[in-house]
Amino acid sequence: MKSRPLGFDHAVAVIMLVVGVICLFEAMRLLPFSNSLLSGDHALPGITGAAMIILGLILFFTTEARSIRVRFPERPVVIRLVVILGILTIYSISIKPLGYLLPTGLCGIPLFRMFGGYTWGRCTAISIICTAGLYTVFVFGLGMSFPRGLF
Amino acid sequence: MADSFGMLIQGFAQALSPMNLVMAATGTLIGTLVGVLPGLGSASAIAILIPVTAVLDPTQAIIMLSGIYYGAQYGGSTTSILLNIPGETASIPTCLDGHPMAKQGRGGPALGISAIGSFSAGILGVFGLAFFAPLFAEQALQFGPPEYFALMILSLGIIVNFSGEYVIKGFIMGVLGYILSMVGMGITTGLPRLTFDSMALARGFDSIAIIVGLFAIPEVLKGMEEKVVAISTEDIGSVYPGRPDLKRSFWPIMRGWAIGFFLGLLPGCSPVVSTFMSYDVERKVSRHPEEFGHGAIEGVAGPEAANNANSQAGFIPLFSFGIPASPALAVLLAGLMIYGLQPGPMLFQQEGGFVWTVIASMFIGNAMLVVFNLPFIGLWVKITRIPYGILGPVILFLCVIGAYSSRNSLFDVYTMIVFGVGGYLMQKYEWPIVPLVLCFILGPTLERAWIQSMSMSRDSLLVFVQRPVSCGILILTIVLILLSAKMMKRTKKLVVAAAGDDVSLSD
Repeated sequence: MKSRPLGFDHAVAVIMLVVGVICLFEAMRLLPFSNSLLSGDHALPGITGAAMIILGLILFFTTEARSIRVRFPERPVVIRLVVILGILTIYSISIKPLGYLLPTGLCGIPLFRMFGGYTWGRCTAISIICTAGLYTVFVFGLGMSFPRGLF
Repeated sequence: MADSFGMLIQGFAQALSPMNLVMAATGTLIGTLVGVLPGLGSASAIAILIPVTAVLDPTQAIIMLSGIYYGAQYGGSTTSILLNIPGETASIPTCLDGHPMAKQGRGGPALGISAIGSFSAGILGVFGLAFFAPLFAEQALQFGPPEYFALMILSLGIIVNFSGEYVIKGFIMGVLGYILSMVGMGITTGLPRLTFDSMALARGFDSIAIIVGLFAIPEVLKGMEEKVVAISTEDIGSVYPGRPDLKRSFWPIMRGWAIGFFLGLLPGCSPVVSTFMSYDVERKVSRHPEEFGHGAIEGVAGPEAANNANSQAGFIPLFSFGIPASPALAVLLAGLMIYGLQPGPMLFQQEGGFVWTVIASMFIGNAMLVVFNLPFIGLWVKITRIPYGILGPVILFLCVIGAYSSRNSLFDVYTMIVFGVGGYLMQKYEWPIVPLVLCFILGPTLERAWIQSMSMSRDSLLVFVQRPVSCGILILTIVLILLSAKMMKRTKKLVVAAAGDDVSLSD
């Protein structure tokens, strides 16, 4: 396990400042559509935007005082986590053009490999069983409608 | 009072219908499974299953989801006692004496007393729920928009509790939750707001996608990172505790129930505070404090009872005011709203049949848990041997189904993945995610109450302090925030003493 000095909180503080400014601009854009200053669709974006700016500034200027060290896993584990998230993203994108069945079966193979380290043949077998089970319960049994795609 | 019990009897008549019994059994079984298996907490499980329960009627669905909630509490004690793995920070006290008992070959009696303690406290908790919830709801009937707004502000007290030691981060996450809840169509004008001209954003973010992303995906990644292994246990002995164990556990269970229940009545009082306080009290009143940490059965009975009583008491602020006391209850609140049921005083008036059926089903569910857990503990231990290599991908597939099926939208799946990555990083850098979820769910109610309050007072902020009830709630909020901060500070010391500095109170 490696330790890295804290820099994340500063980055979040800056992002929150930007979010706060966006909310204020949105409040100003919506203000003319309301006939009151404190009630209307602009009111809470304005209040939360201002609150976010104040909180972001407080965090930015106070976070240095603390000395938390965050533990990340070893490099090979990080790579596996990134690959898993990549597979998950490809899986969710491919559902629309390919339907539910094919992407689930195909993406299941590398996922089982990443998680369990089983042989490719075993991963394929587990993936087929898992896909069949999920399809039977959710699509066939509970009638959930996924994009049809090719199948 | 008589009315309440009359309604409760009617609730029993409904809860004992075959379909409701099946739902209670399904919920408690899934909950126990979720509790014993690594990689999926009760909040994530409820979030994933909310869309799946769309085929059921609301009462059946909420009976099942509630069963998952308290079933997971039961199941969690199995891993705490047998493996020394607390599913959440609130379960640490159970590990302290439960695991030494397991190592001495007394895992069975520890599991037995844990089940009996949870059952007794659960049943007493449901009695309390049946008594207190309508009482609170009756008072809340006189609430107008300013009072509702003040109630939403009261949820800030919860943020303090779930923020651990970094309150500023909790507030930032809370405000971010409110902002995310505003994305979509404006309440008064119907104009798109914070959508950046995106059609997908115009529908707003889906609460299930955000909840699954923030809770379930990081849990799966964490399980992968920590190389979670399947449970392997030696002989645990009989699960039926003997007479001496029962005698030693009686008063700890009663004290645990009282601590858990009354702390659970305070909106946002975390179960962590209850279980650690119960453990601390038992150690202090015990004639053999030196046994604590080496397998004292009182150290299992008290905290387990406190944990379950706190869970049941959490339904009181949820049903009466719409304020959830834990992440899982926040998800349940989202579920109620999805089914068109608005928790709060009107819930008892308009949906009395629903509320009392759910409360009655909790009695039945708690009894089912004992039946499912005690005689079949060996079976549960066997189920937990499913390798994480299979469990992890299956949970991911369930997450995709859960996020998608809520609105049949792939945009929600992408949202889930983005929030999943964000949730993982937030957990790493000790950013509490519960305030974000809580404020996201409460956001629309807060905005509606704000707009109505401002309209009726012609933009005067004094409306919140001029009305005695809303003023009282705001004062209570300040008191609760201060009290919560003090109790969390004290609990943090106990947690550090028990489990080291690495454990976060926001877990």
